[in-house]
Amino acid sequence: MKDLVAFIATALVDDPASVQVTETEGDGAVVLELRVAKEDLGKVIGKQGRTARAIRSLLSATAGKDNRKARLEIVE
Amino acid sequence: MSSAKMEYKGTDVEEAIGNACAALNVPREELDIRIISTGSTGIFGLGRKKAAVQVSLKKEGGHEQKRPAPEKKASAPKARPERAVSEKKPAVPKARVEQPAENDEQEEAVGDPVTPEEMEAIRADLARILDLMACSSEISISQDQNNKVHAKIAGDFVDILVGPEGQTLDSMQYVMRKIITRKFPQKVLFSLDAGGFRDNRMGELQARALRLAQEVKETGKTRTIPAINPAERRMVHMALQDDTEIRSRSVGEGLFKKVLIYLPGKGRRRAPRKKKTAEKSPE
Repeated sequence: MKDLVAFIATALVDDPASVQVTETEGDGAVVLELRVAKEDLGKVIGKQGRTARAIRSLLSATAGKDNRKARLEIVE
Repeated sequence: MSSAKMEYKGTDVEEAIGNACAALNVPREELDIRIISTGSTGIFGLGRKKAAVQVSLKKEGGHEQKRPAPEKKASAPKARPERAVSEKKPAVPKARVEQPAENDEQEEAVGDPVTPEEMEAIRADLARILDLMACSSEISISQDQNNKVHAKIAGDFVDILVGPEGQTLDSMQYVMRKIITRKFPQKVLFSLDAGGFRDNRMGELQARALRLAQEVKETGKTRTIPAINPAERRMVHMALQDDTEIRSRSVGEGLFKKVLIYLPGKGRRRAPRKKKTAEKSPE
């Protein structure tokens, strides 16, 4: 899942080198933290959060396969 | 040269420009007008937006008057030519074309050609996403006569990849489009399908639209289809556009809007509250 977020984020930003994703296992949920260059924040969030929502939706589909939950946090 | 820019508002563009002229005390020929928003009457008094224009005084002496209010351009910024033509006939916008640019999105749009290598790159990106979702699937990719790229997913994971109401599929399509836009300089049209979902969904929506239309005709009551995305809304409007007895329009804010199906002549525009209950609109 980490790689999924990283792949999509890398493909969307101007500065792929700054993309970092950390994955931590919370209780019953996987928390993914996405870090991108400040200038690229808007790109991974999108207009009215649409891109972020799309990524989250893909994540929850993936996590849902194993009856898990996933949370995406975009960190500045 | 031109003096400071000022913004004026009004319920529609015409009024906004009028306000500007009145405030500055000049005829509109002497103003450079840029339309910021065309405004919208909204529904139920909600989402009503004012039109806004930005004006600045034209340079004295320059005095070219050949700039009429650039109105139709602004009301459908990305409209294709045929839309621009049809735009001028009703001064009062028909409810059904309330959001022309959007409802007609993708109307026979033609993309730029995509080379086989680029097709392969698109396929590879999609495959990568599917792999990373642990849903590796078969992908077939093709181009139609409008250069639109169609990718179809098949296999055991179709249900997961479509998601509730096609949400996951739409998300994937959206992300793919973003990636494609960034990757290729040309305009590439892309659509994603899984296991025939799109066709099924469209068929379903059409059937539902027609069924609701029938109910509307029988009962005279307005029926709605809850929040659906632009492409699906367009489908509904198209399914109903040949039916002269009823009208359809989209209401709401943002990406997902409801579609109202109603009998014309009832509670239009300014009498919105009454729409659902009043039998005869108090005219």
